Amino acid sequence: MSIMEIEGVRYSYDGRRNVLKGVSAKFEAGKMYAVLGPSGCGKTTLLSLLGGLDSPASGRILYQGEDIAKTGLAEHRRSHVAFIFQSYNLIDYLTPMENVALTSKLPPLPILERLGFTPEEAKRNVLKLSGGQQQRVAIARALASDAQVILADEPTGNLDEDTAAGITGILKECAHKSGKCVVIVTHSNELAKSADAAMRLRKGELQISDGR
Amino acid sequence: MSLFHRAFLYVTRKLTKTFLLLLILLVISTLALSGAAIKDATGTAALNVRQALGGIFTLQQNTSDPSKWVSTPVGNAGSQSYYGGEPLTVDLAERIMTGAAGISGYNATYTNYIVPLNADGRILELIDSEDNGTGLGSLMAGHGDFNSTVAAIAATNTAYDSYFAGGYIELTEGRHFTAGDKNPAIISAELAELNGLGVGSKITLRMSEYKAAMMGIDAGKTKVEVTVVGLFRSTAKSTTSLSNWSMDNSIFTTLEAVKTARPDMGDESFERIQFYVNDPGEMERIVRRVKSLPDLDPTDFIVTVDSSNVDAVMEPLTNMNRLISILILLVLAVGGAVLCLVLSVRVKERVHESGVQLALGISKKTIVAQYLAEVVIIAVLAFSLSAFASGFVAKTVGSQLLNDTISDRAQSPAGKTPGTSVDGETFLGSADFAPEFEGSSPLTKIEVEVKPATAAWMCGAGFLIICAAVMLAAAPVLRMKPREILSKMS
Ligand SMILES: Nc1ncnc2c1ncn2[C@@H]1O[C@H](COP(=O)(O)OP(=O)(O)OP(=O)(O)O)[C@@H](O)[C@H]1O
Ligand SMILES: [Mg+2]
Repeated sequence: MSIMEIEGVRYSYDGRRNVLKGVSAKFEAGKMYAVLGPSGCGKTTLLSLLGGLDSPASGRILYQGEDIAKTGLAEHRRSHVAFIFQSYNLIDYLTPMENVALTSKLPPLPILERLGFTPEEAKRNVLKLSGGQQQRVAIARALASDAQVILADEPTGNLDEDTAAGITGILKECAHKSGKCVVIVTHSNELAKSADAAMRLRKGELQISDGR
Repeated sequence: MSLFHRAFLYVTRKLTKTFLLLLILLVISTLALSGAAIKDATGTAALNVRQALGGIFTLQQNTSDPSKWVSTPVGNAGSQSYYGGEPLTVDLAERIMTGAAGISGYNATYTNYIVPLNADGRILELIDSEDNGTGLGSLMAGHGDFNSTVAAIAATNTAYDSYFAGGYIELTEGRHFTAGDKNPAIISAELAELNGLGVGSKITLRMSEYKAAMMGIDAGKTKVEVTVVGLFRSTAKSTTSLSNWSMDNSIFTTLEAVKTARPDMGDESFERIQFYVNDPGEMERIVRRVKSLPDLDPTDFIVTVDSSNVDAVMEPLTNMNRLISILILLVLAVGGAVLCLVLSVRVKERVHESGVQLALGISKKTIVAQYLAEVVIIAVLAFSLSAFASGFVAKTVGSQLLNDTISDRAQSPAGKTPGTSVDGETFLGSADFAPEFEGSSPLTKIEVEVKPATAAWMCGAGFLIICAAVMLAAAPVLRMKPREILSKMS
């Protein structure tokens, strides 16, 4: 059974031009999805709607069969989904530990250690970490929340190939070992290849291609 | 992680920002608290002044009433008029004092002008001071020893003299005298120093030779020896129409001594009696009682209630109080605006952080509450520091302000007398030549301290302003959709 579902979602920023023109898709737990498409086609918009940052003009977004508009968007953001951004989006006056602890009640250190941090690194100023390290903190923060859905917007966009591969591996583990549903917006074909399913957005419409 | 924990971490880690905000809050709160402390102090001072000065009412002869004048024919040439009402005497004052309860004391005064001589018979060196520009000085220059005359102020109790009681002058050495003293004198310390005199020194008073010749009197026979029992010092600047009649040249003595030196006075008595009332609130009742005393004719006298002594001090206090209230409001308004501006910049700088927090499911309310908590943490520190800082600022600024307010006004403690003839040459009362003082000394200092209640009040106002400023500054964030914030982020 799918954990999240979108049905005929339309979205427009200006009320005239639809960025999304009736998109439908299903996302299952334990799987990693790649969303591909040219720049400006609406990938980030789709992810925002999945994450409850805004509501669609029409159509429904379901989490475990329930419309998130009914659950409440803030509640949906708090309890069901976790975001990972291209620009990491850590809070700069908090250490990695504190960033992870921001919204979680789980002890942050074991999660950071699982992602390869030493206890010293976990207490450093986040701005003094490398890009790959910062993105791992962001992933740790996503894992530490109870969220079953991890939404990542170009998480490897700012990273070199090797680091990117490492991050992709971690996200894949999140799906396969921790049983999360991971949705990744990406331009990288490498990443798309390692995903369980790839979806292509073009002109506001979604083409699902299971093949890699 | 609680919002308070996050607020604490932000405040302790973004030290430059914290310091800037601390400085702003410290300045605002110190100014406001100092103002409040000074305002408090002026209120307390006003109360003290009223209690310390009490009230004064003055008794004068009703010389302006023509029916009180008695005419007797002189030879066949004409007639001579004299005032027929009861004279102002110590006996009258005593009768009033015992007749009306609530009077703490009185002083009867009469001023005339005499020439003071030292033990060697030489005229005392006088203190030169600026006259008030009436030109009387040059007019009198050709009048023999007239320019050596000084004011001899007859008093029955110098402690209750209006110059002393009003604080325009104060006793620096020796003691006050009463009507019971035999030929005492109180002179200014300056005059004493200039002439090598001190407490215990003898001075001789006599009529001006110029004046005596005019009246056909032998000036040598008007001599009276007085003993200096006290020295005074002026606490404020004063001016007179004649340099030699200035306060610092004046000699306090008894009516007997003045009468001996000025036989031309005849049987004239005191010009006025000032009664001191403990509680100004009782004034009306006491004055009514005095007027209804059985053994005096109320139409013989003019009774004036003189609140100038209290008013003189109350007026600058009231003005200052009003000024400071306006200043406090101004500081709070400008402070609030500056705070709001600084916080707006701060919120804008943190749009990114707010977006992240929103994406993590932290509500807008919580985010704004964190901003508020941060400012409150800094404010608590700033307010505590300002409690100390304002103690110092308030003292300095308070006395400065008071000086400025007081120096704006001048006043004379002796009321003007309506048309009495003092020395045959002028139809003005001696009070018209009395020194005019700038300001009044009882209030050249005020006790300024920051009271806990005031501090609490200002804290409350401060926190309200902070709340308003944070809400205003955070309004753009509160209005924005999470999606908009996130798109602004990248
Ligand atoms: N806040 C906004 N207001 C108005 N239009 C917007 C806003 N954000 C995005 N758009 C427009 O919506 C369309 C889709 O944008 P979106 O960010 O979803 O594209 P994307 O596929 O994520 O592109 P990229 O690969 O460059 O990140 C674009 O044409 C973009 O200009
Ligand atoms: Mg995008």
